[in-house]
Amino acid sequence: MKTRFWSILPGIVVILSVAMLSMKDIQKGENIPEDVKEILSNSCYACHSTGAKAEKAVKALDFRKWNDLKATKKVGLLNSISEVVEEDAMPPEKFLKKYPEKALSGEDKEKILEWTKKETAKLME
Amino acid sequence: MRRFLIVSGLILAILLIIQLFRPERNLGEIDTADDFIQVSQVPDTLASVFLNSCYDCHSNYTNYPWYGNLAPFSWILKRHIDKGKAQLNLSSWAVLDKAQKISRLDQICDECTNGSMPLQSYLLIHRSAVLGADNIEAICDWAEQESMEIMSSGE
Repeated sequence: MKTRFWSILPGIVVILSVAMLSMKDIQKGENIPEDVKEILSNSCYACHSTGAKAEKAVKALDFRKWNDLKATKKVGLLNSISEVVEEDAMPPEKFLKKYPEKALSGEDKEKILEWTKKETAKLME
Repeated sequence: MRRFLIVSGLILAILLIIQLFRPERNLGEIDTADDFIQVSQVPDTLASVFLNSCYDCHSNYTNYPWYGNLAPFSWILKRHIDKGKAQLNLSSWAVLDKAQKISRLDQICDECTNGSMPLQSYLLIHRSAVLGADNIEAICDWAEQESMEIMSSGE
């Protein structure tokens, strides 16, 4: 019985560390505030997340890989996000014609812009 | 025969008439204090790449080709230049804030890498503006380094 425990111990250690690491990943993912994430997942993720059909859009910005990005890349993308949101360039008109419920409301836009501003300031500290 | 003469005469007349519509040319100051190459102190070898491959549409000064004054080419050029400058005008680099600069630097690298810039139609005529893999790598490396510098520079 005792030897058996010792033989599975390495396995337990591995499983626990993997679990801890993935927990850490999840925590890292929390740096997009919940309310903003909700807006993004409603209006942006359809094209800008891993697995979406819009290859070019995923390549330009993949929100699921947000945490793996370098700080400079994040600042660059945050700036682009704020620009396209301000100019109503995104989500594209064509997309909105098909899915009008995915349009950004004035409040949504404000929340996104507040986030991009705050996050940029944080990254540039 | 008569028909041929009438048609070609008509085409000629149209070509002549459209020459009257001359768009404004992009011939501003070349060397300003706000210029990208000056402000960012782009190394010489890279600066010549930018000047040769980007500045025709992304600055206040275009090196026009011989047909640059000829409609309808002049109109097409004007449109490309207007669009290019609206996205990124390297002659007024200094007016961008830090985040905008970092964003543009990132886009410069991205667009060169994925081949969307320089425009295919531009490269068709300006063969020397084609960016080689070594050029693109140098642009991206430098852009990343410059971004890091901008990030860490307190203001």
